[in-house]
Amino acid sequence: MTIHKAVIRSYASATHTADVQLTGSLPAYLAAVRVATNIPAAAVAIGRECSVLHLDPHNPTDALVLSIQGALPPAGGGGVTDHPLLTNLGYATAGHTGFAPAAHAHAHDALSNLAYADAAHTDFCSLATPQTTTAEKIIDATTGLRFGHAAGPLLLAGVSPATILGLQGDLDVSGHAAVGAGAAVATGRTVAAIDTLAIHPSVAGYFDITGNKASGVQFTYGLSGAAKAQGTPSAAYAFGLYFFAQHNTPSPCPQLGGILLQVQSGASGAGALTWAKGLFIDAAYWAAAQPATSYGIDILDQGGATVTTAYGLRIANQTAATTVRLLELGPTTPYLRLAGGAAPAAGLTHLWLYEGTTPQLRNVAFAVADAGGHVPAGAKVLYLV
Amino acid sequence: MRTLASYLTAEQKKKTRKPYLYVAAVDQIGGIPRLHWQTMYAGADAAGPHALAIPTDGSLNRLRVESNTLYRQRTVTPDYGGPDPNLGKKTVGAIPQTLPAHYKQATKFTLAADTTITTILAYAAAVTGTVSARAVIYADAAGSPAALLATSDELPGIDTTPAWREFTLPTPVDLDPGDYWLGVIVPAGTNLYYDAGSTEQTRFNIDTYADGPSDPFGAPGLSLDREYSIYATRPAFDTWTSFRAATRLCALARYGANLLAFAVDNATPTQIYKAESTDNGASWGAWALLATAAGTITHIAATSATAGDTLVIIAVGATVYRIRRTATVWGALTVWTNTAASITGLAVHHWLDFNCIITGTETTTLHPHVWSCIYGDGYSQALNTWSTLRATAEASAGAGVTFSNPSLTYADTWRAAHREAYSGAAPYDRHALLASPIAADFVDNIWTEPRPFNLDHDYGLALDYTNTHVWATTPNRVYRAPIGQTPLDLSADVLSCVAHDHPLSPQGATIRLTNHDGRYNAPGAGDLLALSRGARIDIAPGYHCPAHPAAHSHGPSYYIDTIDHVSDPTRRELVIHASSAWSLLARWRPGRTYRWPAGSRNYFQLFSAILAKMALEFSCYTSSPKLTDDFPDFAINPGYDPPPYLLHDPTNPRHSTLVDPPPVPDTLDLPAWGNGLAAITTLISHLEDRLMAREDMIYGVWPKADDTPDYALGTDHVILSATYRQRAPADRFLAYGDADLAAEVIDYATVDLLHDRPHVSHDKNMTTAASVTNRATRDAREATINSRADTVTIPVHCGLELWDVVAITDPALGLAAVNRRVTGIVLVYDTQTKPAYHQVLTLGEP
Repeated sequence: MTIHKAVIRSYASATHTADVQLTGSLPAYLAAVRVATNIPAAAVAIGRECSVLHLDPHNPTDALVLSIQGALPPAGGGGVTDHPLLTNLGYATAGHTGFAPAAHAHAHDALSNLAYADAAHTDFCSLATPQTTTAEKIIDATTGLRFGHAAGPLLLAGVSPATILGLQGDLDVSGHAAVGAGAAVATGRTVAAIDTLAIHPSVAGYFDITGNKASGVQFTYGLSGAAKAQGTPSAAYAFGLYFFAQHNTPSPCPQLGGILLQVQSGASGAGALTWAKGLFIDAAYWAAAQPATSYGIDILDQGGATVTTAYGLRIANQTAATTVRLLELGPTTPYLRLAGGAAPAAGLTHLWLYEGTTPQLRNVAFAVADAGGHVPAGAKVLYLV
Repeated sequence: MRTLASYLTAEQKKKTRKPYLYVAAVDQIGGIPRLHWQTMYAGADAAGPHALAIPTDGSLNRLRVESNTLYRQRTVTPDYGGPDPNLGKKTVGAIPQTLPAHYKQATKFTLAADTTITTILAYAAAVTGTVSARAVIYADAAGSPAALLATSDELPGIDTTPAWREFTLPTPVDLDPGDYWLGVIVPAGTNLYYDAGSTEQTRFNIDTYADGPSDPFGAPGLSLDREYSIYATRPAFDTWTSFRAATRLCALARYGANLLAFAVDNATPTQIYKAESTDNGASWGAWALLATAAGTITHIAATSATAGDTLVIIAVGATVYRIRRTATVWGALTVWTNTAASITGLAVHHWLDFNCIITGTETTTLHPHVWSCIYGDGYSQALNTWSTLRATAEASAGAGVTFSNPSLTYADTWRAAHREAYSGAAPYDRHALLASPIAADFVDNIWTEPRPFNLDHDYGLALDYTNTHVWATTPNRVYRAPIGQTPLDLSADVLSCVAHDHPLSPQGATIRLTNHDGRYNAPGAGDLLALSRGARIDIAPGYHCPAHPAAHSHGPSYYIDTIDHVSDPTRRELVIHASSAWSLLARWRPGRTYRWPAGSRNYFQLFSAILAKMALEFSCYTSSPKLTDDFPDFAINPGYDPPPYLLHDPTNPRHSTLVDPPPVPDTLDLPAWGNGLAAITTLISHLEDRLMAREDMIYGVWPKADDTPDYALGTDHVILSATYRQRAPADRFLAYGDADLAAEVIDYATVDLLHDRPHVSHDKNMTTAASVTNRATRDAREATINSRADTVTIPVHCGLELWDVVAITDPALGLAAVNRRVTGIVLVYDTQTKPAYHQVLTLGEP
């Protein structure tokens, strides 16, 4: 009888056996060594140290993994620590033909034939004491954890609404998801990230941030992200926001827009509102390299062979405002201004240009020359150079 | 009992017997000669696929691929290859000078290190027409050419174009460091070339060409300060000839003076081309397409039978194909009948069958493997059929070990090599050498434990052999190791010898040799190479018989542990401590797990496989049915050395060099389940059979209670002294198997004496009532044999062995031909102060 130090190299849950690499055996493992039944499957993790007891030093069928060390034990592993919690199971229920008598309540194997989904077992697993479970629990051969009970709306719940249910690793959701209070799973929304308000019925991702109730200065961003080019690629292209809208149906498509933006004030938005910008492009920030050419907005050709009218930039008249500026380019005293709101007075235009003398900003107006070709005194004349 | 000649049997009973003890050192471990590798060449040739073949003339023919070009090399006298001796002037002198007819000249050069030269080259041209010439080498005496050391074969056809002319020496010439005179003798005017040299560096005199150069050189007629362009060489293994362009892989096969080269085309790597030489590789025929495979060929190997039948094996992905030439007709390229998940290397060598070593990974498990496999030529495998794959070495998938680049040859025995690479935290990439016990067939697939070979090369070793050496090459390395050494007979110098032979005991022998004249001052070197650590010591008791002096019979062999030189004013001795064959197994602590699943090998095959790890071969005289009928689940796990605190203090007197009997080394004196001896002990405990050693072999015998005596002691073969001992062993024997199987055998008569002394064994391999009953019976039988431990001293019986049954007659104690079984033998031989030649036998119940 000898004991070897070893490392778990693979584990077969169906037989509760492991391939182990005995210390000193670099190229070869000892295959299918039985694991002691008091070691839960979750503890037999690849790479863990273990000790192998050779009851017969030369017969590997008479050896076993005696212990596994080097990691915290899985709580409740093996089902041997919570026996008292089973005492309220209704053994006498007619459906429990395979259930062991109370005197043998520790024989957990006898529980294997209980049909959990059976309607009669509505109280099954409603144990008096919260159960703490660590590591994976294999429910069947292909599913790590599956809930088949049809009664409850919550298949997985924390101890309170504020409980954070953590998930480590990738999340693969085959259906639709609702995130946030008041959000509901809807086939029109792949991810409904809604707190209280849902407006639009068909969006891929809806991010409605109304849960921000912070006092003091509050910043709320509906969607925030960044595209950061890093590493050492041969060339890097980075776009902070990349969206497109595609018409891909034989049906009419009256409207197609790459980005639809709107500023709003809600029904309770009674506080003073200083400014609102449908599209706000902040000043560029160059911490290191700066581009040879920088554009605030660069609008490329929007035309097409059968496009009747193409606008590079179209600004509708701005109405119901004290002052209307359809376009204003330059510093505080702009180099170019296009006013609007109503038709200009006779002889005047909405066009204002900056001219090198005071007053600098001058309204472009029309004047009729007299018979001698003179324009009114003080008027200036635009001419081409 | 070994069969003895009648005269030896008669002699050992005589009062006038004359003792003789044969003792020899054999350069072997077990039954396999040790290889002492010599590096013949270490260059910088680029690594790549390569091959080696040695045809009947002993020339070393090598192929290698570099940058998709195939090169070949033929070294006619490879035994004399090695570093350039740097003896002579290799640059062409600027000044020509005519050496007149019937003159000879010699130029002095200095040799820095020992060497052997085979060739002399001189830069020369005929004055007119063509001329013949010979090269000469003279020893130096006091700064002048003196004794003739060698004359080259005549080189005819030297024309008027100045060139290096190569003169071959009829036999290689061994030279020690010193000054030598290199020159030529000519029958007609010949231009030689020189530069300014040291004072009188070249000497000339008149010498008639027809009767050869004078010996000694003779008085110089002329001495000049010139250094002529002439130098001596030996095979250097670094000159290659372009053989074929656009080549990816290569292989060589040989039979007689014939060589077959095979090349996988690089542009179309499905195509195999071949070329042939019928003159030991001196010249080659044109390349011709041999076959086209179904896909890209990744590995190729080839071999020929002595009559010329040739097999080429290739790998296409994970599939092996073969194409065979029978007589002169090539067959079709045909797929094998085995499967593998991948193939990483092929080797093949014909000896009775086409025997292959294949590396790759196993289907399903993906375990890396080195397999042996046979393509039948009608010996162990039916003609033109494939055997199954038999694991020679195995690793576990995921362990980071890969096997590749195998090679195989049958020299003094089967010898193989493969590359083993480990990619773990402390990676290694090395070659392993294996050998098979001499008497084993390839089909037996029993090999020594792989032994690391000090080489890191991506394309493996190529192996071949001559009658005197095993050769191993890579493109930039040439190694050779001598084989076929004769035993070093020490008999005449033996002062005393005590040799122990007990079942499964590492205890061995102490041999004292006289070294009065310093003959054993340098063991392990030169003629004493075999007298070195690890070497085998053969001991054979005998007698000088009338007309048959020095008659003897070989008993068990031992293996040298220590060699002590003892020197004091009264004696100079060499003392050898050697351990038994069982010590080889006790020292083998495998560095890996070995497992033979139930049903894979029977007990006989397990013994063979485990004993072969340490080069011991297994056979049987008699055997129980279980030995061959049962196939247990068996494993040997990696063993560890005992912790230091369990080892004895090195200064302990038990480490004295002259303790008799010799001490069992501490590392063998502690229980260690992870060694080969523990495995053998466990296996034999399952059987009614017993083991014994004879020379390099381990034999099995089945001692039965009704065995008839092999010999009688106490009658005409006297008993010198005796102690007869009864012992009290166990008397109730319980054997437990799997699933609560149990059986019990009770020695009722002994129970009445000893009360209850149970012996309990448990073995899950016992799955039937018959098997547990058999085990209980076996254990009871063991106790019966051990219930006696008589000690009997007799004049040496030359053929007596463990487990023999002897009939003891000792009238003083009323013993008349009672049977006893030999369970231990100590041979004592001493020629010194108290001459002795006897055996101390331990005897049990029969």
